[in-house]
Amino acid sequence: MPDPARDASTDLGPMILGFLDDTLTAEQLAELDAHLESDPAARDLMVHICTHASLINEKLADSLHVSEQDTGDREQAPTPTLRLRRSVWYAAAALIALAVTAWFVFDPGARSTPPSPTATRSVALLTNTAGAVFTDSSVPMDLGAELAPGLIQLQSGTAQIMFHRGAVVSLVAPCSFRILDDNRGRLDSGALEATVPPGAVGFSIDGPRGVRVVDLGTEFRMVVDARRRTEVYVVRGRVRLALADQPGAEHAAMELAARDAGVFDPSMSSRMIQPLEPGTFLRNWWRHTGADRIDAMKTDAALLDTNGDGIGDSTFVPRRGSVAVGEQNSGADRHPLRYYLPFDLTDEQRAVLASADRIELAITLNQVQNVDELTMRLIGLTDHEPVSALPTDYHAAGQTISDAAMTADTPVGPVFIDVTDFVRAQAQAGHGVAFRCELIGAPLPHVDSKINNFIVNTSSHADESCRPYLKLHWK
Amino acid sequence: MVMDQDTLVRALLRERAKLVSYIWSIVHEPNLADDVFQEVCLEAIHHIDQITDADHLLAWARRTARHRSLNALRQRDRQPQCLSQRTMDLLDRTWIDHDGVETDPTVAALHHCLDQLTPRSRRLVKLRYVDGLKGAAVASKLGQKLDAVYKALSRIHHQLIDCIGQHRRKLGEVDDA
Repeated sequence: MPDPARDASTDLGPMILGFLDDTLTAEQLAELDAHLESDPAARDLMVHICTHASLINEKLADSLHVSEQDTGDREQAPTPTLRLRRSVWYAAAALIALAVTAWFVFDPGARSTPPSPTATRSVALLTNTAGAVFTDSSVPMDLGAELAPGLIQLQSGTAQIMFHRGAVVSLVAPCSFRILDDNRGRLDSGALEATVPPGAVGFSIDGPRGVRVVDLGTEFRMVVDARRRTEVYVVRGRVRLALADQPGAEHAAMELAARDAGVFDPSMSSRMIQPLEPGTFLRNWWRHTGADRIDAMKTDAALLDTNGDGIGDSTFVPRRGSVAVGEQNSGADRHPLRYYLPFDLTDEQRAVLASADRIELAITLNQVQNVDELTMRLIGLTDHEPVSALPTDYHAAGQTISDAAMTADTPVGPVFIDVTDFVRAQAQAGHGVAFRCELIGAPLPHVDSKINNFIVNTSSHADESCRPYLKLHWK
Repeated sequence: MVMDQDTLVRALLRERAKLVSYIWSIVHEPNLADDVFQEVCLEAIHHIDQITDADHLLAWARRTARHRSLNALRQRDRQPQCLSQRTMDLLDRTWIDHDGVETDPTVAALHHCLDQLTPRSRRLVKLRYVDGLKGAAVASKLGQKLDAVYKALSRIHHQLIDCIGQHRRKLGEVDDA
């Protein structure tokens, strides 16, 4: 029997799509309603269509690259849409809103906080204060505080401000920032990241000596250093970087697209906006914000060679989600225990790694039990992209980076292994980074499978702080 | 036993795609669907003492989302087309049937199946669901009639449904029908 929801002559798909577009006539709407009421397959189709639409919009937008060749379309690729930017913004803002609301709901003291004297002129809200210490503030800078135009001096930590028009600005200490109105601010020194939803397009931030960043619907970062030099980098969307007091002058403005950077250096003899190498900005940003680590991927990263056949047994993961636990409790032979440390890198992380002066792999040794001899050999795996494909390709080309990254004498605690050359080369080649760790233990004294012959635990399921990571150093 | 706040927030974010698509089916506006989802999240925190587990949360959130969606529509000047109460109730049951389907494997399968589409189909999907153009705008951009766009999109959805089913059966994620 033909499925009425998809029979060509009675396919309800077009009608459902018209309904979701609000373009049906009253008669068509009544007809669709009747179909949906009487036909479970029609209801099923409607749920599928809505689910596809939502998943594509929220999770698969980046996978829908359509090349010019494919479509014969030569028009310029559109800037990220309002819808997408809003979605991205909401992902962050939802958590902010939840945190702020939870604070009001669950902290009785919060409700008794006296109204800020700024409340009548409030143009922004303090929405997050991770370790933030403020100086010279004339009003209480508590989470949820209403903020009027004025100066914010952040001595340490980070603070997040949501302007009433919707722009969200994250300040990183040390930072001096001034709120000008509900869609405008000024960064005198320090670093910030701005996420601007559609309703706040036109949001602007001034810098020293007349430079101004005007959002054209975007997410951007901005650094003003001690020499009053202003650098701007666009994460997504577009911004206009301009000298506000020199409209129309040559080299006085530049429009930046995603992953572009620009700079204004007031110490130069001629006042001009110049392009900046994005890698230079990212390096400066990471240094300025104190970011210096990239965590290993977590999911399914532990692979043990439990039967000594040289193949990692992905079905035996002692604690799913752990990244590195080596344990041998049966068999008389000596086998290496192996696991992976994969790092799936973003373009930004690659750019920063490529410019780092030194890179170390940090692994935390938590527990060593019944071990007389132990060597951890670290092998950098090459030709892997993406690194998440590793479990199906265990035997891989690689190079030994360290043949004794850990020994039986290594004290419990963090172990740092220099991986600079390998990681930098992988990053410069546009690859992810993956290591194979081989824990080579002593001959096993027990055959009884109930006895742990040796345990080497370089991770903790419960303690996220033990997660392996790449530590970056700059001169 | 009630859920703690951290668990509740994580559960809400995990089920975000299901709830947003449900809300969108009522309000027909992605941005408004986001707004309603946030309101549902906030209301869940307010009523955390009434929510016992993740299953209960999803059922509760769907009821609340429907109520909030209809409220949001009433506050707007423009009313989208609405189905009858009876049909909405029946649709709710279908949504509940789909709640058991895990999102991550579906996303992976959908990703695979989008790759199988022709470039023209992929462009159509992108214009409608990524760029957020309404059917009429898509038709105008492509120089087609609105009806042709709906038919093409409908055909794509059917292809995706078939492909996702086959892909997941092949991976052993669902039983052969």
